[in-house]
Amino acid sequence: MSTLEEENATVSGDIEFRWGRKGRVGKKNPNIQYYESFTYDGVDYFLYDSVYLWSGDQYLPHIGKVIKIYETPRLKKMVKVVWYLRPTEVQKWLKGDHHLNNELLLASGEGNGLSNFNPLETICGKCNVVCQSKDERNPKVSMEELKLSDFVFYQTFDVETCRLSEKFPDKIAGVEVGHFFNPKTKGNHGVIRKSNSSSMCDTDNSSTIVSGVPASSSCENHHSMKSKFQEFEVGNKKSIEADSQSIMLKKRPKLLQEFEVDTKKSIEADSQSIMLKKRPKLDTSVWFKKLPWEDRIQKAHEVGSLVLLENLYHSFTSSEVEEIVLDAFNIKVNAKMIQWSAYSSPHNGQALVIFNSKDEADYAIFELKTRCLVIGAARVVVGSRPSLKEPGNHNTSKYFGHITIDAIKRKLTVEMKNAVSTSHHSQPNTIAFEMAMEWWAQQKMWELCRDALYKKQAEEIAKLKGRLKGSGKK
Amino acid sequence: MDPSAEEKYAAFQEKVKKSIHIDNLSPQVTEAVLKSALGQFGKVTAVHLIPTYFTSGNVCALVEMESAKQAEEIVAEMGDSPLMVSGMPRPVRAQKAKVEMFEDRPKKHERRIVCRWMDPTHPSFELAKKIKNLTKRHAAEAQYLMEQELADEQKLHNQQNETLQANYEKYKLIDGAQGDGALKRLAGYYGTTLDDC
Repeated sequence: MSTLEEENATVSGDIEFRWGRKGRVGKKNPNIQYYESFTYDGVDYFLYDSVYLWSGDQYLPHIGKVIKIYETPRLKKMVKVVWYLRPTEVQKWLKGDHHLNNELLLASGEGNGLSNFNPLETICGKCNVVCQSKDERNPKVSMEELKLSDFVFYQTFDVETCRLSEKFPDKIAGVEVGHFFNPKTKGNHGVIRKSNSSSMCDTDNSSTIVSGVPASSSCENHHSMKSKFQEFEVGNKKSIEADSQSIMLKKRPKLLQEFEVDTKKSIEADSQSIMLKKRPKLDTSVWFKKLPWEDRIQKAHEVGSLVLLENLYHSFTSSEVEEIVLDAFNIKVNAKMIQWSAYSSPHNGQALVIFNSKDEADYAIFELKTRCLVIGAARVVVGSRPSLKEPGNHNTSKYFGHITIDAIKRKLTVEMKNAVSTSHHSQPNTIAFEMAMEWWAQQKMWELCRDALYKKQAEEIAKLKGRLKGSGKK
Repeated sequence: MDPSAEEKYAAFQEKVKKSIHIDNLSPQVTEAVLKSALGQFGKVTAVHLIPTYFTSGNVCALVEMESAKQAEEIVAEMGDSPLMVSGMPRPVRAQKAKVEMFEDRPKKHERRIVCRWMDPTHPSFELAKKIKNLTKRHAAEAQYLMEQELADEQKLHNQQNETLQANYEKYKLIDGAQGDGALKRLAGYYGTTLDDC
């Protein structure tokens, strides 16, 4: 059953809604009233704004540009959006092109995936999307505007041919392309308060998660969203169990208690505050372009805000580590799992975490030292300040095994030097081959040594783990 | 529209299968060099040098080939005969890539990571502390092992270098002697014939 039987949401008092400027009436059906703006949950939206849209089963909100706003004769509020595609969504056709973290692709062409009609209630926030196309019809943006933007785009993705292009057609979905470029006059509606939009999305996130069962129709592109007040009619406890997406197990018991005790209004507030922390993805700091990791780690190391976490599970991803730190310390950080190499211990997953200040790092290390942070059954996290190698010292890092004969080297012509410098597959009857064999033998010996060490360590760990599981309560 | 987490992960697993982890590389190796080196064996889709943050880091890289089959064949071949990149004679080592070797990997599935704080008042606190200390000790052991291995490598390098230089000198001597006719005179002196050397 459609969720939109809520008529005017102001009645329920949950989400405030007000129509703004009226537009024309429908050409074919004069009972359809078009609008040029509306206010939803305290935010003003205008035609041709870029917005976030949320459907119950997504991990991240969709982003689209509103090209039509209207109300049907049955008082259903609808919007037509042209989609901004995330590069990951169309990875299949991109063939490994490099895309920035906050880059989007504007859908163009005709067919499935270009645009959709959605209930207005699926909108959960405004989004600042800036166009960086070099097209002459596109006004350029200043550095300030770029910095304030949430996303950028400069390419279109034709949904019919599945191709990227930097060319913009004259019309997309029947709308003049000028509306897709940056607005000519920088009105207020182009820039939004970030915190407002993120909290918007969070509240809607909480509502969809609590409800558990989205009322999606069969067509895969059609989105729908549960209105806030409706899901509280569904059994609260049941819907929490049904939610398999949540990671913050610790927060869950608190939520349950809240539901039993409080009224509906305060549940909203609580779930809002809890879920806010859960969604670092919508936080603005993620959207700015960042320095490459090496630089950031060096900087953090100099400042003293770099921490090495050990004894993690190797299977963690960097974002999971960030969530763990968020859960344990309530601090948003950036983390990177150290990639597994031939020398890595299978028992010890490591991650480098950049805190926001030296004090935070000190605090985290102190907490990890004095108390014990236990992950899973028995992984106790160890925190320390790592000793990194000096930057730019690449040539002096020790590498043994490449030998040259100086006299011969001098005689080599440039070509020969280049030829030798790439690679060489040795034949059995050369000295080089024999020497390579010596290297192999040594390598193998050390590999066996390492395996033996790790095996012994595994036994020691298993012993302690067994004791912990047996004695302690979970 | 958005590929589900499973799809993303499945695609990622495909990529892992096509990839090779190579280490024991010289720090002077660049991505281009690796690409041409492995390009002899098949089509290379991507090369990615893994950054090392710690001292005594082993330079390693992830190379993605066109197909999983190519990747397997290369790993097998590199195991049979040594491939040397950017210098001789130390060969590089190759193994099939693992999921954890990759930097930006998608989550396998939405899972709950349960983490909790244990206060000193908790009965198992001492045990947890022991586990922490064990981890530190293990890390130190592994570090020690690595240092020993590095020392061994240095020894072998020096040893091979000496031998090679000495051999080279010997050959040079013989060549030189041949060149300036000394050998011929010696042969004549001793009454032996000189085979073509």
